[in-house]
Amino acid sequence: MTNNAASELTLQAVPSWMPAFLVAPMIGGLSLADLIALVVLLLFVLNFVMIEIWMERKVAGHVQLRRGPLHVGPHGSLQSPADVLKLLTKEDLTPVAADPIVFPMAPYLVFVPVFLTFLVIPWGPLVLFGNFVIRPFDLGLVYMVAIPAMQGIGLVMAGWSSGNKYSLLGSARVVAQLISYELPMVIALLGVAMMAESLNLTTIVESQMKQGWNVFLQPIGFLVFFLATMSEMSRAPFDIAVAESEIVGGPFVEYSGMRWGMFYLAEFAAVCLNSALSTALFLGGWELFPGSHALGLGWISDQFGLLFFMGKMIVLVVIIQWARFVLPRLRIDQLMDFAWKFLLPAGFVNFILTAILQVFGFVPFAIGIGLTLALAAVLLATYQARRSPSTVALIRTAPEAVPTSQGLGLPV
Amino acid sequence: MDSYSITYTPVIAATFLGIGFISLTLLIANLLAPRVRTRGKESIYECGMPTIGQGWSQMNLRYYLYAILFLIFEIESVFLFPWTVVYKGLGPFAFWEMMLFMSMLLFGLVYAWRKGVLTWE
Repeated sequence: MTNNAASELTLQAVPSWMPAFLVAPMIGGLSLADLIALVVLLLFVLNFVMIEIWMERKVAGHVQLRRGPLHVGPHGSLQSPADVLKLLTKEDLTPVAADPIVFPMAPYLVFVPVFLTFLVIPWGPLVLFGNFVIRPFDLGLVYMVAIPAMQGIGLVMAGWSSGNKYSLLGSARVVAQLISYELPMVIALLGVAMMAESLNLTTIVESQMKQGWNVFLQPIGFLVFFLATMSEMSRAPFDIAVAESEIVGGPFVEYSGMRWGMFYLAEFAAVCLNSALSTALFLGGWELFPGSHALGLGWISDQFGLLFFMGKMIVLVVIIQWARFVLPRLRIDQLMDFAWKFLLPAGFVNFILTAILQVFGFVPFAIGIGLTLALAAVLLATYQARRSPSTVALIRTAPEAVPTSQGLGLPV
Repeated sequence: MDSYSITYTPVIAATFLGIGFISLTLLIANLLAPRVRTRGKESIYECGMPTIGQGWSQMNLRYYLYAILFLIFEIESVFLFPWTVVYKGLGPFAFWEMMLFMSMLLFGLVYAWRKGVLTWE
């Protein structure tokens, strides 16, 4: 079954209008069109990262009642290209204590896995291109878990080889965080695989058009996946591994110039990647709104799917950036507790509920959701009751905030 | 090469593309950037103070118990992936079977929790 499906999809991905020399398979079945698609993908990632950095600085500015970058280009939009030029002309230092082999290798192992994972994303069904995806992998779901996990090795290499105490600490925290959040993520993905009865991301998107978006059918799974991936890429509030205010940037303390820029690029590419994956797995991929195919409006999604996919992806990117500036950083013990005592059990609940939905139908599923909510309420109530009364009293009797001048938060 | 292996050849091409991109960028940066070596610049960063001891200091890897738990759960979840694909056709029996499997897993988690493995000190 798998072999047939693979060949069908590969054929489907070859559009009919392309000249023969473009699609003629060369070495290893790769055609010229494949290579062009890969280069386009790389250029897309690089450009999107630049836009994303500008967006993040704008979001940061407006959250903090500033205006963000303004001067380079209209609304500061050329700030990122300017920064790239600046980074290119910065001196690239290698500290004497650094390991001469592992230290230069680390940036490669941090960026390349992120880029490889982009191959699996089903961007949209441009009619001309067939399904617009580099290759529809049959094991897409396993691939998208396995390949980014290699990034952890790169981060540990960077942290260890720098010969710096901060970076060593940072790499230890990276490992602890990665292994803790990998689990809830995988468990949440099991629900998705069960809904679509497939591990192929294109099939998963198409099944959501028939059954409804996964974000409605398994909201717990979406939450678990979204939070776990946010933590996997060390984004605030889960950024204890690279916390700049205590271990000054974690594993990349000793990197400078463009080599440091590669880590930065990988971090922002990962934000784009995980938003795209959440869109494909839970938000219906390139469908305009849930149920549009059932209403006969599917042709809109089929024609302009790429736009809708990008739109949903950008909304998720902004949510991730927003979270960075409004939530305080979690302590390392809170971080581990959140993964093992909250996200992992929630992931198991989602898994069991999805299994019930698939075999016993919607009514037991609804009962199960109700029971879960009741259980969550009871747990929350017991947690509130068990909080030490002194803490609660302390919060209640805290003095009023210091009077401010002009409402700007400045003490009088 | 059969069609199944061909599906995954872009991964190899993309690996080389990524490595090539980073090498090229670092090469350009190498040509453009100034290089003035001084002792201060090449020393290890430690809040601006001279380094105390070695960078590779001894430290406590507290996460090793989490790592053992991670190995167990991760392998279980890899077993679960093929099961999820064929699950709907198998019917209620597969559901109860998997509940048995999951309850053993969850028992392990609860046991580790009660033993205090999941407490970061």
